[in-house]
Amino acid sequence: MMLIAKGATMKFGGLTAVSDLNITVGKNEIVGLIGPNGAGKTTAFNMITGVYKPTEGTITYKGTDISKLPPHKITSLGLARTFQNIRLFRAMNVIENVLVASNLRMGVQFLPSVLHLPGYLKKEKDAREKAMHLLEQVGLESYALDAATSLPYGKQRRLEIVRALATNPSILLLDEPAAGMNPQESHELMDFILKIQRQFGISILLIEHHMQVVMGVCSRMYVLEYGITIADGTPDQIQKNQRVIDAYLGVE
Amino acid sequence: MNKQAKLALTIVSCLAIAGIIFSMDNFFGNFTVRVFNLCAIYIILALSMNLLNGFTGLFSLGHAGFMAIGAYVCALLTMSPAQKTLNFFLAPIVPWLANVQLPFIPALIIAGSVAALFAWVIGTPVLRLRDDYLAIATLGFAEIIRVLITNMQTVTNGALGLKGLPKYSTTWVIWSIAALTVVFMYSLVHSAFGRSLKAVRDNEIAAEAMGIDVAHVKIVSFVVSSFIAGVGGALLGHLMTTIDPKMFIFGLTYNILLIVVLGGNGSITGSVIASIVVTVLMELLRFLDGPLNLIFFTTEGLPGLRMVVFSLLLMIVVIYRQKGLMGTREFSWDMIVKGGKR
Repeated sequence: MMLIAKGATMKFGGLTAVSDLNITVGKNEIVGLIGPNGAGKTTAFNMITGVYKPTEGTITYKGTDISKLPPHKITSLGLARTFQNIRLFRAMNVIENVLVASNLRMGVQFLPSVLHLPGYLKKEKDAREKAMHLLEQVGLESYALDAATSLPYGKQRRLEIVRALATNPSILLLDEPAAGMNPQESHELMDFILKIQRQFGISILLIEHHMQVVMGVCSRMYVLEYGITIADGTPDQIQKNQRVIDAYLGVE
Repeated sequence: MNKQAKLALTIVSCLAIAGIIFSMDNFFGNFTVRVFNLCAIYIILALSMNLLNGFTGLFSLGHAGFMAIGAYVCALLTMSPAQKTLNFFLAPIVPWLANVQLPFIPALIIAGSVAALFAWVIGTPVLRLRDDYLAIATLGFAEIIRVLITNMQTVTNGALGLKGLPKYSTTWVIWSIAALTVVFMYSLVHSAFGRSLKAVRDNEIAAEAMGIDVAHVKIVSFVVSSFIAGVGGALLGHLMTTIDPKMFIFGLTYNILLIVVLGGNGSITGSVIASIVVTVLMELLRFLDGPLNLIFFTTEGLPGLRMVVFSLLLMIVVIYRQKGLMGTREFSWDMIVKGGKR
């Protein structure tokens, strides 16, 4: 297993946003995390990526405890994420957005970078080529020099995913990538997620509301309700699970 | 326009600037030269503030404090022992400073470094704050520095200030350092490290998630900016040849902030242009502070009236054109060719 959350709990004062979260993500797996609004899915993501430190429990990645590390350290270990509300770097163009993420693997230092020393220039050139190559792989190469925020919504989502890929992750965490997309776009997104999983040989942990998308791409999934994991299993098992149906449709 | 034409234009304008500096140095009166040099000092200071406010998104108001540190360190290192004895007539100067005398350039570097050291020390706790809280904390720091300088009689000569600083800030020195600062800022902003700065400014949470050590980036930016502010303060001291704690009040930081906002938060050339325009206007509008004859009524001189003009200008910019003169763009020859067509 690549990623293991064991009894991870997040309390904000008296409120328990996520309690006793136990999830695992294996190599080359696409795992879903679903649940009604406010179930604690994004909080779970924030715990895994270091935005919040879990109040109890541990999160291990490839055997290392990452539950107390800051976000940038966790990213450098190989977990990268996207955001529910798109967080692109607004004042930058498309390729610069990707290049920011390449800084991590370039090992940017202040002086060599400012003085444009030869070693830095070579790394910068490589990073640009790599960024351009990434953009080509997802069909955004013709937008490379456009302002990131001028892209249509669906492409901004893609750019966010490419940006995360530029940090060279082994696990990609996608927070509601299909939010705000029409059926046609979400269908394309499904293919896209499957494609990048194969192409980059990574694992994906996916939060999604869009049932068609989750059921279509995930091999396993976890269902959260009020911070508690109420079910886990394959898409078929989940679809038949009475507690899940109750959570989504409500009970008399 | 093709590349060669642009290069030619750039070379010609660099030569023209050098020509202006040369003629200023040789043919113009003291007052004009002083205003001209002040422009360059404001360029240095505005760029250093723009590095924080415009490129890293840190709203800091501590500039006067770092300038004061730079100015005092440099002055104390370059003044002759005799000059120091002359200055410190209330209480003698501490022995370890009494006989130090260094050439200007090493003193300038030390001055910047001491300012940078202060920035590093206060940066770790203070940079956890954001926006207005950071502004208040840095503003408080600048005031603390000023009060310390006023009260450390045996080191800084207190409220009396220091007089008779060697006149090392010549036109060439000041303008060369200003040019160096412009080049430095340009290559910083257009480097991978500059990308990290802008990423932190645009979206801190995303920057962190992309593996950028946000705390490190902020502190480097803060330290570098303070180094430049310290050098700027030192140059100002050696231009005026007199320094005292009252020079480094908040009003000084305000002037720099005015330039940065007018020129465009996040534009190097914007800061350069605004520095020159504002400095020159400040002198041209000096008549406003004196007695005025407005036909219907006359005033007997309202000191500070010209600052009212600048404050109004700032308000208008903030209301109608928040991005200032240049926004985050940079001046280019294409901009002139295209003119209003854009």
